[in-house]
Amino acid sequence: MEDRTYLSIAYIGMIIGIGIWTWTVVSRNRRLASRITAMEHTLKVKHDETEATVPVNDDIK
Amino acid sequence: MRERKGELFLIAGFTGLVTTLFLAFNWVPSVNINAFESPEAQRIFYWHVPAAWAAFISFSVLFAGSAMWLFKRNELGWKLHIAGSEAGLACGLIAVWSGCIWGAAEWGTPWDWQDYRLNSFALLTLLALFLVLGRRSQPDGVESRDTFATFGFYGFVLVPFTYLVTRIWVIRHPGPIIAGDDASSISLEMRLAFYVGVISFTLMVIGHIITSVQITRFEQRINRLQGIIDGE
Amino acid sequence: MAEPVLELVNVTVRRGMGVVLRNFSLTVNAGDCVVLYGENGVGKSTVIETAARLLPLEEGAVKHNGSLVCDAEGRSVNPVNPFGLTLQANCLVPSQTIQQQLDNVVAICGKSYDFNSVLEQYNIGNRRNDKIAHLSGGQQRKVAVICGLIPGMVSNENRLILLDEPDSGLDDASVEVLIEQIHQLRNLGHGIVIASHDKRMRECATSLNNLSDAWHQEPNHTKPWEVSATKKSYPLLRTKIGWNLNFTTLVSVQRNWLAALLVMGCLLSIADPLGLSENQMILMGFTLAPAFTMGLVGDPVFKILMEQRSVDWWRAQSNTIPNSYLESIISGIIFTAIAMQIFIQSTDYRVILIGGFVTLITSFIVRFLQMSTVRLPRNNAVFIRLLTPVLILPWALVVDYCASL
Repeated sequence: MEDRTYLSIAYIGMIIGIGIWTWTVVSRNRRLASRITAMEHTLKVKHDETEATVPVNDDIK
Repeated sequence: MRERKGELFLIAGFTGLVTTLFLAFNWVPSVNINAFESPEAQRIFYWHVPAAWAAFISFSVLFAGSAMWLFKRNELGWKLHIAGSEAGLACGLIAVWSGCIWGAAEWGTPWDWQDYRLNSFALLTLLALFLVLGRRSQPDGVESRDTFATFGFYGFVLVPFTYLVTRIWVIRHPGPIIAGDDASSISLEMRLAFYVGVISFTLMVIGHIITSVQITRFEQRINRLQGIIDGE
Repeated sequence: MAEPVLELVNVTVRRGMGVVLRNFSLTVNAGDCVVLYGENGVGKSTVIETAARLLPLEEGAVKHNGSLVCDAEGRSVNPVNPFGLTLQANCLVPSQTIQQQLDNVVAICGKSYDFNSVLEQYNIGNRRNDKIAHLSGGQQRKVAVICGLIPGMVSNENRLILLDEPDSGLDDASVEVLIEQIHQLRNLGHGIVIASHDKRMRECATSLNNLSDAWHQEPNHTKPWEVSATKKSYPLLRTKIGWNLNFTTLVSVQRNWLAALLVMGCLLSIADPLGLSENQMILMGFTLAPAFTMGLVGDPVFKILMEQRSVDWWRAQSNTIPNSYLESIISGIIFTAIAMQIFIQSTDYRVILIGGFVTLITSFIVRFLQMSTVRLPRNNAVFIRLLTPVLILPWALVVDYCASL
């Protein structure tokens, strides 16, 4: 195979891979954010942004 | 804006990667034809090495997150474990894929089973694949988190090992080019293109980690809201 | 005063991400029968499995007969005495007969016992030589319940018996037999914990516990169980059980041996060994490939034990479970010898022995990886075998070494 062919195959594969990966991450992020907004609006619950260490005796409720 | 911080990093990184691609194809000079069997295929280097570098960053995040979960039961640690494993998988696959293509062009074979660095790097990527797929197959729980965090924690021992064998064993895979001794030197254009690639992949990984942590936080938030709805 | 047969000391246990038991304590003395009752999800099975060392503790400790068996620091010590355990899953090996299954439980207890009369009481005496897989669900449940009671039936010393929904699937006559036997075992001095929805089981109880409160009651008195078992020692029990499982079920033949044969067949179909006589590395690779493949397939005994959570029953009783190490090394030696004859047309005892160890060590590592995920809720779905390629490079180094011999 030509050198440039190897190079092209490598880069095309990587661009496609990175593109798909980035797209899935970004779209999932946006989808979840809109879902939370809808659920919070329905429940009239405030958005909770706290990042906490989970103590052992804490129920995830 | 805070929610979009990760996406900004991703976009910046992706832009940088495209720039690196352009520079690699059109700007950097070719290497000496006596130094490489396949001088044109050598241009894969400008993504291959930065991808491996980004993978090491990801595996480090995976290690730190796993340790935080195992020893402190820290939720952020678990989020970092998830982000590190996914980013490590993506960057590791890119590094392995580009390396195989380059190997096929340069060595006539895509793989060398006797090269410890190649194999230990592939094993790290395989570990990341196991962690990503395994975690998705299990319901979230302390048992699952403990099990996967243990693998993420102890699998990290391969990272310094892989780095060391770069210095010790130079068999078929070339030794360090950028940070090596006097025998390793490249031109200014090559160095610039390489650094653009490194910075771009670093931005991509940072962006992915931020976004992934946010995604996990969103998923947990949804679970809590679902619990409220179910309880009504 | 005798130590309690069971102590749960301020245990906190999570299932998934929820806390099921929080600072829960339970003491079971000799002669006690605690019946746990309550709604689904309240934590009855969690108490049983925690007492059986099957669940990690966030806080607290578990003791059997006064000795620590596990705690929140991750310590896990084999119980000093065997204890009876019947989980909601039957924990049976379907390809064994009832006789073989019960023999194993009796062996764990270090005793010899003819349980024919017990089987007759449950109306399955005529099925003792039938495979468990051929029994109905109710009959299998009877066997599982008997397995849980045996450690109490064969010992005069105070033993712990844990039964999770033992009445589930049993006919009325069998439930009555079970209740009577629980009375007898309790009067002998054993400590029994039962989780059950069935109100009939409550008549056995000296204490009723809904995990929030406990009520004491005075159950009927019955003559104690008569112990007629004799002491017997069983050296290398787990290796023997593993060997028997392999021999009786031929599971290693249908999994490991078949894989090795397929590999040899594939290699022969693509390469003429005589044509490769110059290349020692390739020939040695062909020779050791079957042994390596057999190891990669994994421990066949472990595979058998994963059915019906039998591996959990063994994990509860001991930190080591039956294995097929002996079978692995023998199979590796046999197939390396055969492959050597086919591909190299010579015999070198060193290579043959190395082939045996390749199978043994590979199988051990694969088993170790599988054991590390056994606690996961869906351990059949986790892709643990993705990590097995790590073994390719060491195998290649072994091949390289053997080629130089």
